[in-house]
This record gives sequence, structure tokens and C-alpha cells, in this order.
Amino acid sequence: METDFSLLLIGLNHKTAPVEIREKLSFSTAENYPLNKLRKPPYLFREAFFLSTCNRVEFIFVLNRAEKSLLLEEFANFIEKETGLSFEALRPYFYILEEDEVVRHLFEVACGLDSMVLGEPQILGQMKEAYKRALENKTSGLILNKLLHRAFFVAKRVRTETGIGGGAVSVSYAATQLAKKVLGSLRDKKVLLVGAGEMAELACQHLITAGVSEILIANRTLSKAVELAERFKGRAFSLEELPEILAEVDIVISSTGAPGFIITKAQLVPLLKARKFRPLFIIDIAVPRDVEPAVNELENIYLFDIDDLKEVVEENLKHRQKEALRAKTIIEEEVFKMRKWFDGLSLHPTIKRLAEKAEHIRKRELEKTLKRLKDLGEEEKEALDILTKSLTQKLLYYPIQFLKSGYHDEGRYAISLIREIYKLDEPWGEELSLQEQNQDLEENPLESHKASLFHEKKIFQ
Amino acid sequence: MKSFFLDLTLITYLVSWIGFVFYFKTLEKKALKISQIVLLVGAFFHSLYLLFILRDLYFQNFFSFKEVLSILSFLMVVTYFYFSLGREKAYTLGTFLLPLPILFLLLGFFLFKEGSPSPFLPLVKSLWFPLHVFSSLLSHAFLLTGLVSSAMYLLQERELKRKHFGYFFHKLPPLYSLERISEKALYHGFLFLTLGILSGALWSEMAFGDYWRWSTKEVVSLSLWLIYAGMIHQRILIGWRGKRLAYMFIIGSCLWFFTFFVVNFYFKGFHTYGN
Repeated sequence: METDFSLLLIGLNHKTAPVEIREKLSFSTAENYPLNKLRKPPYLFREAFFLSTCNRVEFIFVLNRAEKSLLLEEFANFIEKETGLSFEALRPYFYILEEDEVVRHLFEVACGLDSMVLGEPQILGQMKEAYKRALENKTSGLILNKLLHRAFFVAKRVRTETGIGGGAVSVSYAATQLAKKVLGSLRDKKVLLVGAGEMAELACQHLITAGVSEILIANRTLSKAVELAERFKGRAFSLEELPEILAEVDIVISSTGAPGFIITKAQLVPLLKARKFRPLFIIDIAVPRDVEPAVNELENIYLFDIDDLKEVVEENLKHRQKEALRAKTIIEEEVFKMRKWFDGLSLHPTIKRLAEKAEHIRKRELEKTLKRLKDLGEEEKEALDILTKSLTQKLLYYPIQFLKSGYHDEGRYAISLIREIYKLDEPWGEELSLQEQNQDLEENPLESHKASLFHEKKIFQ
Repeated sequence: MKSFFLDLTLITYLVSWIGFVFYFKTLEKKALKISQIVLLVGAFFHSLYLLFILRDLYFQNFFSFKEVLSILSFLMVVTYFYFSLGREKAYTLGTFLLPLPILFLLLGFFLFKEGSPSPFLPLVKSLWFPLHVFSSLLSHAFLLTGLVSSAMYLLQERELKRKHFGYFFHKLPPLYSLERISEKALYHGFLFLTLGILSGALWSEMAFGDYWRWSTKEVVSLSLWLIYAGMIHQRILIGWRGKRLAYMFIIGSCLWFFTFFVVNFYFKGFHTYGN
């Protein structure tokens, strides 16, 4: 079944374009919503969506079939005007997708499959933000509303059904996860920062999120330690006090710029008994290293350096790549469902489906009645059959008439409305047993501009 | 009827274990939930079987090693639930623990299917006797659970020290949880072993007029008790933990194995099942 509209996506991302090009097209500084500039009459597209993040710039258009080349032309003019670069020169950086490819790409982006860090979740938030802007500027309509809600749903489904978001993929977060593998819950654990680099602070932030109780900071220059201690609400020490505080902490993150080892095996051996052999987890992210590697041989002391953490990250990324394959299967399934929904938006299948449903109900009810009325003759039965038939036909005349007339004025809203009222997207009769129940129930297939504003609340909460 | 429930139990446990292995491979939460439910159903069948044993014990004075194995197997399943409902979340414990109760049931099946050894007859009916059996077996169950979590601990500790962040690293629980389970198993096991020895001594006094008869089993049990006591002492005062605790569990379990399977059959005495 052919739809009367077409989907078009023009975009570039971190794989196709260097940052110099991406930043020129990001429109992040522009006061004006770029789609508003593009939309100036005559209207080129029916609906549009614009997404801009540091890794991608994408335009999605819903347009009339015939107007594709016209839109591309207009888009090229628009880009030239906005960036001062010719579209021809920029063309190699762009990818242009159509129809199902658009749906697939959008779903993949929402799931983080197209992101620099595979499976990262921020993109979903950015997409929701972009969708909100499209709603505010009233560029999104029936089709994009459905498409984007579906994309958010698919992202959620992929996240729960696959491990695409599992495992730490940043060094600082990997440190926290490793700590949990040793110490279990990090609640009521004490952390010692030795030296204060940016990475150490990041790791510390993750540990605070995980619930550590106290942060101790030791630094060569005490003033810097005091400053950090104030920020993390911890206690400050000088490096000379290290042996004493090492006896009380559970986690150490070391990142000084010192040329030699700051924590040595000889220094820790006498502390073991004082610590009652409690496990000590040491992360050494300094290069050159701060902690003597032999420390790892001590009982219940676990030392990891920056290379170990990177290895954890790589393992996790490998795992995510495997999960991405599973995610793609889910996305294929969803693209197929989306296509079915688009096809359902045409006029004739809707009328046909409506008639089928009416006939199904008529037959069922007639059967029920005939079962109870046993003494009827053939003639009377036939009369009943004719009566019910003409009743349904007369009643169906109005919605079908509405569909046919509304088709030109109100477009697909009429179709969508009828499909909603008569619940034509839900299976009935034999279909119920044949077809698995569609999970479309969680969202409304009819989403006009008015309804969208209401939906907004639901989505952005 | 009686053996029907035992067959059913064995099959359910096996199915549940397959589920646990599947959970270990996939880490699918659903698989864990289902396996646990299946295990619970198995434990229900098992408890029905135990009711039959209780009847036999009281009306026919019949009690053989097969039944002892079965009770031990049941108590291990109970300890599994005790630990998996506890605060320490060691989700993959079942995968490693369950083979033991299954093995005990199978042993009962194959070793004592026909011509089961002459039953061990409690000479004097007294409440001390079931208490003695129950506490001793429960202490064994805790000891074996500690053994399993200690083995998992050693495996995970090796992965961490050698920095292998692969297959086992992801699937095994944190060191802390495993250690806590071993530790709890230690305390509980010690408590029930003490109870078992005391109730045994009281019963022995009633039956033979002696509290302590220096049979092989008593001696070995006493050594096991001393090992437990030593472990707890070192744990609390010096802070022995982790690997040392794990090794102690392995030594203790070897001793237990000796008492339970070797002494019971190859040493003659009032405490054994063979004669």
C-alpha cells in the first residue's frame, strides 16, 4: 500500500562530518528555530523535526510525494544562506534517507546505536528536548508525533530487553563498578583522594552518587586539599599523614604528579593488622604511577591502574556491541510495525477494515439471536439477515461519508479519528488468536496538535 | 507414594538447576525468578517426603543413611533460601550450591536403591535424638554452603587479583557479599554444631549412661567444632577474612567429608549406619 506522504531525513553526524562542519550547522546559537525559517510560505513540508547535538544535526521532513526535489532545492538554498558555504561542498558530509530508512535511523539514534559511545542514554533526552521544541513551534503533526513517541518507546524497550546500556564505558565510572565488585555496597565507605586531578574528581563524584560516607583528601599543597575538602564536604590532610589515614579508609584514588611511588608495599604491610585485614581498594590513575604494583600482592588489597580500568571499559564496549545486534532485531520489528501504521493511514484500507468489523459484529450478534429463536422458518431467518445487513450499512454510511469528504479537507486526521473511534487498529475475531496483541495501547494513535500539548506532559515528566 | 515424592523432588531440583545455569549464562532476571520458584516447588515435594520419613521414624523406628542424605539435601535448599532472601545479594549462588543437594539425593538413589544398609536404630526414644540429627545436619548444611561461597570467593578473588575482567568476573557476586555469606554460614554452622553435640551428649547419657564415648565420629566432630571455634576467634580478634576464611572452610569441609562418608561406613561403632 502506498502512502500519500513521504519521509525524508537530511543529516550529518560524528561519523560523516568533522566537528568544524558540525559546529557550523548546529544552529545552537540561532535565536530562531531553523525550521521556522524553512517554513516560510509556500509550505514545503507538512511536518518537520530538527535535532542538533554536539555529535549530530538532523532534519526530518514529512512531505507530499511530488515535492521532494523542490524541498531539497530549498534546503540547499537555506543551508547556503545560513552557513555561507555552498551545499555542493557540504553534500559529501550529509546523508539523505527516505521512508523506512528514516524510521530505522531515528530508532537507532534514540537507542544510542548511532552514538559515539555506543548505547549512551543522553541522546534520548536530547531527542525529547528537540521534540518539545518542534511541538512549541508547531512543526510536528500526526505522523511525527506517532513516529517520535514510537522512537521513545523503542528506546525504552531496547534498554530493558538488551544490555545495550550495561557496563561502565567511562574510566571514572568503571572505577566505581570495580569498587562495588570488591566492597559490595559503597554505603558507609570512606574514600581517600591522593592528589587532585580532574579524573579523580570525576571518579569521586561517581562514588558520592554511589553513597560513600566520607571523603578524605591528601595533597602536597595543603591549601588545594582544603579547597577540595570544602567542595566535597570532606577532611583535608597533607601527604605526610598518609600512613595514618590509610588505616581507616576503604577506597583510595591516587592521581598525583609525583615522579616516584607515593604508596609502597613496605608502607602498607604494617597497616594490614591495624586495618584488621579489611579490604582496601586502590585506584591509581596517575602516570607515572603513584602506587607500587607489588601492593596488589598483599592480602585483601586490590590495586588497579589506569590500564586495568581501560581494559574494563573495552570489555564493556565489546559486550555492548554484541547487544547492539540484538537491539537491531528489535528495531527491525518496530520499523515493520511503524510501516503498517503508516499504510493504515490511507483511505481505502480504513473503509475496508471498518466494513469488515461491522460485518463481524453483525454476524456474531445474529448468530446469538438465532440460537435463542429456534422456531424460525428459513424465510424469517433471511428477513432477519437482510434487516441486520441494511442496518449496519445505513449506520456505516455516515462514517464512510465523513472519511471520504474529510479526506481532502482534514487529511489523515479523519482517518485516524475513525480508526480510533472504531478501534480498527486492534485485532478482532480470528485475528485475536492469530495476531499477537499489539502493544500500541500505551499511546494514542490520534495525536493532533492539540492532543500533543497534552501528551507533552506525559512524555517529559 | 513415598519414593514418588522423592523422584519428583529430584526432577524438580534438576530442572531448577538447569534454570540457574541458564541464569548464570544470560544473567536474565526472569530466569532466576523462575528457577527459584521451581526450587521452592521442589522443596515442597521434599518436605512431603520428609513427613513420610517422620512417620516411619516414629512408628517403625526405621532410619537409614538414605534418609539422612535426603534431610541434608533439604536443609541445603533451605539454607539457599535463607541466604538468597538475606541482605547479601549473591544471585549466582544457586548455580554453584544446588549441585550438592542434587548429588546427595542421587547418592541416596544409587547407593541405597536395593539392599539398603541395616537401619540405624535409635535405642531410646527421646526428643534429644531428632534434635541431635536436625542440628547436626543443619550445621553440615551451613558448612557446605560456606564451602560453596568460599569457593566462589576464591574464584572471584583470583579474577580480581589477576585482572581478568571476563566471564566469571561479571557473573560472580562481589567479594563482600560472598564473604558475608561465608561468615554467616560460619556463625550459624557453629551454633548448630554446638547444639548437635550437646543434644547428642544428653541423648547418649540417656541411652548409654555416658555423655561422651570417644567414638571416631565424636572425635572428628569435636575437631570440626574446634576448627570452627578457632575460625571465629581469629575472625573476631584478628580479623581473619577473605582467603584465610575460605581456606579454613575447605579444611573443615574435608574433615566433614571424612566424618560423613568414611567414618559412617568404614568404622565400626554405635554412631555409624553400616551395622
